[in-house]
Amino acid sequence: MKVKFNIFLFFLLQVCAVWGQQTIKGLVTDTENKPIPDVTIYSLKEKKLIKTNADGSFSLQLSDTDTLQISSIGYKSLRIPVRKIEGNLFKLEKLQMELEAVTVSTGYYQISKERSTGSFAYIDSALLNRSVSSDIISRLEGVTNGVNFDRRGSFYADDKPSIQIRGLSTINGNTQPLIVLDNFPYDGDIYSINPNDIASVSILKDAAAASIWGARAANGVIVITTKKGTRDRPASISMNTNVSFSEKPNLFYNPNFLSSSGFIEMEQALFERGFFNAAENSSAQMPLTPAVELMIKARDGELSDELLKESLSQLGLLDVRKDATKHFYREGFMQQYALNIKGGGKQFDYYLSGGYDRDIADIKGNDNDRITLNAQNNFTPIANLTVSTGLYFIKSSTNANGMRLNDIRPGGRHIYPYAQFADTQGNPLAIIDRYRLGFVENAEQEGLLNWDYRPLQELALNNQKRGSDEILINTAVRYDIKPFLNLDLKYQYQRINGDAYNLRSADSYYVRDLVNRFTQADGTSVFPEGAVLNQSYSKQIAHVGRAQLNFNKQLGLQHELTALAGMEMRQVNVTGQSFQLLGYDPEVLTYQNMFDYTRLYPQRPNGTSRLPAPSSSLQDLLDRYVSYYANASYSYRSTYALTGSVRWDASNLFGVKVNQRGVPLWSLGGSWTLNQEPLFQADWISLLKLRLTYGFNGNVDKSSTAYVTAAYLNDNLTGLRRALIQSPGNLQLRWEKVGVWNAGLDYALWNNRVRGSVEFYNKRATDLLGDIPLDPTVGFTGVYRVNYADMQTRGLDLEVNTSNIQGTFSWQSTLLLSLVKDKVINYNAEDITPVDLFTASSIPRPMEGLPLYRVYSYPWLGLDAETGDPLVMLNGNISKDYNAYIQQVGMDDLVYHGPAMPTLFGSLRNTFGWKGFSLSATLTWKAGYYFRRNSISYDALFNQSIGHLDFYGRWQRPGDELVTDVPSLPETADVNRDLVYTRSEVLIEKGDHIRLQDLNLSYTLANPKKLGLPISGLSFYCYARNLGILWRANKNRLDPDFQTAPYPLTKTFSLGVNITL
Amino acid sequence: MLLAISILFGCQKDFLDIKSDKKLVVPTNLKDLQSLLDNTERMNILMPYLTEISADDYYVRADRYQSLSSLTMKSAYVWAKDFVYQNNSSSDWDWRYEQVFLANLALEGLDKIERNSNNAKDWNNIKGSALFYRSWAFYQLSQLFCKPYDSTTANTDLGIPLKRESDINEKVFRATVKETYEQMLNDLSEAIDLLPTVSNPKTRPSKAAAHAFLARLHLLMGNYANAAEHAAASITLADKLMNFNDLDATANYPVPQFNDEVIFHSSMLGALILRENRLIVDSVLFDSYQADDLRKKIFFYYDGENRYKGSYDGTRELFTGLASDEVYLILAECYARLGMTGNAIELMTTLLENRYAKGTDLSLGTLNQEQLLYNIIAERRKELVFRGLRWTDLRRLNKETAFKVTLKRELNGVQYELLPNENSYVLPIPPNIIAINGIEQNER
Repeated sequence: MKVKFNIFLFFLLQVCAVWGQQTIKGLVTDTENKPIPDVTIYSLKEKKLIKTNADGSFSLQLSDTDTLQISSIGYKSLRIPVRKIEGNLFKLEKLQMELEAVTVSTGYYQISKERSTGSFAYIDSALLNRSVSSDIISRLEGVTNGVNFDRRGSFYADDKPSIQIRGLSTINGNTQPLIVLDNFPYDGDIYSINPNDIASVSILKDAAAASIWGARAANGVIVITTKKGTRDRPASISMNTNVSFSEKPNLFYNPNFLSSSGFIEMEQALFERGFFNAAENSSAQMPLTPAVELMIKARDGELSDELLKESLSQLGLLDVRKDATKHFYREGFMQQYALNIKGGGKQFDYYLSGGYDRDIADIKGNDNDRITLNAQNNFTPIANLTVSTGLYFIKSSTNANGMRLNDIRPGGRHIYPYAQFADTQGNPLAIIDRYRLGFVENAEQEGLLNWDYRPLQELALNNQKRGSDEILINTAVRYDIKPFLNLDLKYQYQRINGDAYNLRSADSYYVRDLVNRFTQADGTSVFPEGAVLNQSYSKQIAHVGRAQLNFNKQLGLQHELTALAGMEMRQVNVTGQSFQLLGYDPEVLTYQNMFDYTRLYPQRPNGTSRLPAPSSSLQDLLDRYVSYYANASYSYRSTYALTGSVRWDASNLFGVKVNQRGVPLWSLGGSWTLNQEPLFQADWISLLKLRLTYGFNGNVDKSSTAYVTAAYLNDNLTGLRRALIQSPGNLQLRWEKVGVWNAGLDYALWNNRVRGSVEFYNKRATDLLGDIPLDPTVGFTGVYRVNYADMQTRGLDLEVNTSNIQGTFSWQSTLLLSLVKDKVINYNAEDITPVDLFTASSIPRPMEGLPLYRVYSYPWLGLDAETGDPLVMLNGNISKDYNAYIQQVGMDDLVYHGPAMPTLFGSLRNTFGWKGFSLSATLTWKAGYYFRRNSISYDALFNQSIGHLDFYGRWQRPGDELVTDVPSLPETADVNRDLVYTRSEVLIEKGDHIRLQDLNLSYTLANPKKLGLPISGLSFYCYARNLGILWRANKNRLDPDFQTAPYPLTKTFSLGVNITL
Repeated sequence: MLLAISILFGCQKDFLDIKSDKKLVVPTNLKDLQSLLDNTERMNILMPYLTEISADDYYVRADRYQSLSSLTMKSAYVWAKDFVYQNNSSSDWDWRYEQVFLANLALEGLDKIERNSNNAKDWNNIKGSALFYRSWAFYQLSQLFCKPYDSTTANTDLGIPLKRESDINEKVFRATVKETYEQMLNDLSEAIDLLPTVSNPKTRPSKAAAHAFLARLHLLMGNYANAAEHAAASITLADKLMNFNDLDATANYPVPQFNDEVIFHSSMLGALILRENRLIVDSVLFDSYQADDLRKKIFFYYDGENRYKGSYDGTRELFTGLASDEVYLILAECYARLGMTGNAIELMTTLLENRYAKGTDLSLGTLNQEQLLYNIIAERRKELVFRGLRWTDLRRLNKETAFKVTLKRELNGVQYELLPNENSYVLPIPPNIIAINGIEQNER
């Protein structure tokens, strides 16, 4: 109704506004008298709307009674009645909460976020530097919409997470986003780039944003832009240094543990049943725990029952986690120093930086050093020509001698809970490993080397290190052919040399064990007594060249056309070699190589074995890509914009036929800036922009081959060399394709106090690689991977930034919320059985109509009231035939819970400011998913020594079945009995949780010069990370991100200072 | 820049042709291509057994039949209308197309290697061999899954899919019988000029083998003059015959592998139903060998039943390759059919002198053309027993009134019959193939 009335009014005014007209000519500037182009000039009465020109000028006919509204993003709107206009200068005041015109980068072009149609997330330097870390990737967690850090595949909490932008859109292919450093895909380890050199990060999420990257864009693109110099600025030096501390890992987190007393109790029960008899009598001298050895002694009368009892109760007091925490872990310590100089003259600018990072890990023996050097130069030797050079150097070295508790596996089992690594004086103690105690103790008497395994001693006896140095050279030439047309030529060279060194000294347990095992009856060993060296080298060399034409022209006052077209060639060559030397002497670099690896030697304690053949390997991989691309955008009156892009890729990874045909990937987009329309002219609307895009992105899978491959062997009938086909190749192998719809609304209201965006997307992935049975007529039988499967991912990204309180005390909030749901639409899943569903979750088992990763379980019928055995439903009857149940259970019998990956996640960041102080906190959450928690598996307990705290809550006597679901301790282990419990619905937990991700407190000195300090900027900051979970849906105090990890991420605290000269 | 781009464009094909992992062995050079063809498991041995299982040179006892687990063998033995393939698939189909795939790979590999004076010999041999092997596979398939060649209907009778590219994405469809045979004839004619006169080892094709193969095909098609021409050409290159008087009839396998008569070695996939302790030689056939026919003792032994031991493979595996005795018989039959009875008698005499005990009277001189042909066909059956040829001959000769036979089997009192030219002379295509590519099924 109101709209209708407005429209009516609009026409009415058009008719009436005839008298009292005057022409107003004006100039809009900021408070520093710099003209502002593109300012909206709007007359409230007559509803006239124009824009200022590039020089900030405008001219408009208005009646005396009208009122002018002058507004522009980032400035306070100005309203002035025509009568009151004096002079022709209109000054706009900058908004306190600065809304800089954000320029996002795609790696091929920069575009202001205002003019884009696509879905870009932009993280500026301030937000990046809010966190402290030695890498850039971890700084993106919790600050970007639609980006999920997936840790399901990690064993250790600090393993690098897998990053998903807007969920999954592939089944068997690569899921990682493409990472672009400045202009080119980065083929090194992105964790090695110094975050202090990063100016901003753009994340390209939809087709319009990413499709310029064509066949590699399906998983989204992360574009990292490095810092550059600035023209006409004197040199400015900036320093940033910080130190971080991290807690010792919390080994008490993981519930897969039985206390020593409980464990010994269990061992005693098993001992009485003769469980250890086989090991005790084995000629292989299979190891037995110290407690069992004591029991044997007592049984054989070598130890009195009282002494046994006392010894066992003493062992029962020990806790290996305590001991390991003390001897293998420490507080982590990280130092970071970064220095940069930037500036420029009329014809040149430069940015030079150096960085040093030292990370002393929380595992003793592990540390890392990194040096980065960076020099970026641009100069304009003659008008129209700009030459850029860049040199980036990274050298890192890592010591990896540390041992984690999970690395110590006596006899291939979990460590027993009463193991001790050092005596009270700190002397390393031996623990059991491959053989029985008595056998090991006798070794030296038999003329063998000491056969003790002392884990703590090993830390010093092994030397494992890795190093890499990387050089990245960029050259670019830009020539302005016409003011609106330029040619850009770029070339990048990258070389990464990596080496790994693993020396196991002659005294190491590894060597002593092999020497002893291969000691022959005459007392000599066929395995040499020297050190064992494993070494490997790798070299990666990448060349990229690009030629690009850029066009940008204002056509008249209201039309603007931007276009670019180019081609690119890329080659990445990875070569590597590795070798092993036996009998190595690190002092004089000699080794032995006269061994007979084919002969079977008698081995101690029993059997025969060949010498372990040294592993050597060579690698030579070569990837080549050729791409052609073009992109154009057209805008009218700064209100309507149309964009389009197209890209054609070819690679030696794809099938020849596909390369010859070349299917282009394209996108189209449009945007409508509503607030430029008279209808939406309101005081409280600063920005209202609708966007809609559609297009295709691709995904490359390097594991499938377009070529026929063969192996050779000799023919049985003729003895001639014959070829056996390994893979028939697929000439039509092509990239996976994802069609993406994206609809978005950008808004800024009440002078930007509320601003953000909301976006809906629908991705439909087609041509996904899936396995199909092949028609034998083509000449190859078996399952074969081709492009045919489909998947759909839908979601919503919401961003709300609010400036709640402004003034001396300020409060701002940023809310990010992402909803994402994926579904497999087409996949040949005939052979999926209920058993498959429970195997490792990292292998996709796609099922049509369901999320790619999801959680199923067996229905739970409770425990037998008499025995505490789990019950199952077999052919309509309550049964305990677990084997038959597992074999026969059908898909329909299973309980479906839901997705295994978060479907709702996001973050909330609140920032409080007072004078120079700023305090901010990030909450992150994940919800809408399920996980299967661990519990006691008696088979794992008996045979692998893996306990679980649920053991204490097990069924012990009738009546317990009413309060517990944990089955009773069985006489003998039955894997299937364990499985019907561990795969049951009672162990499925909701993954929902809220986490306090980090806290940042900083103080910036307002004007150091005033205080007589010879600096222009100074700030101090404290930062704390991984502060823990605030709320979780599961009652077991499990961290759903790290629910099977030995320990969660450690809390980290940092202190730092930033100085600008 | 345009220049630069056009230069880049020009070399792009080569730029992208390189393989991405050096460890992948992509067969590209002549040695690799030869290795593809030297895979005797696909090129020579394990050839289809359904021909021999369906043929009438043997029978099995009912209990032996019942104990077979393979439904394929059971169906083939009784010429079942509702033929069932074990696991819905058949290696008789799958492996032959693997053979075709390997041959196609070799041919495509050659397209990328220039023939020059240095490599011409190897290049030619590979090209000729690949064409030969591919035809060998097509031939085996055509005898199972197509109607026998009939010049009046060959244009419409359904043939087999003629895969001529290794591309596994290529759409598969059935050619006609005419196209199927023409493909083989053309490929073999081309191969003749490329192949060496004789080959070593005998698993590799030769000129003599190509002529012999063409003679066999032309005989099937009723082109007796062409068959005679190629048979004669083969004999000029490989005319040796073993004299059975020199063989040790008491040996387990009296005929050696790669013997003088073998022109091209090939053998059949071992079928349980055809194992020597199961199959019983057809009594009419066995009785047709005269007492002084050495083949009676060399091909067969008696352990309560008459069993077969005369494979040219020198093992229990049945020989299905090309040998000079077959070529003599083809030539003789053609001569007889063409009215050149003198030549036919001369050839038959030469062959039989090597088969009968020394001094046996082999006078064939009194026979008229019709009797001579009948005699040659009878000798053909006796000579080429268990060589995978009987089924083919049944299909061919049933077209002639004089040679029509109705096959009969009996199991536990149940009679099975196969009338001349019945649809069951063409086996159904395995259901897994139909299910995936939707090609047309044979009428049964």
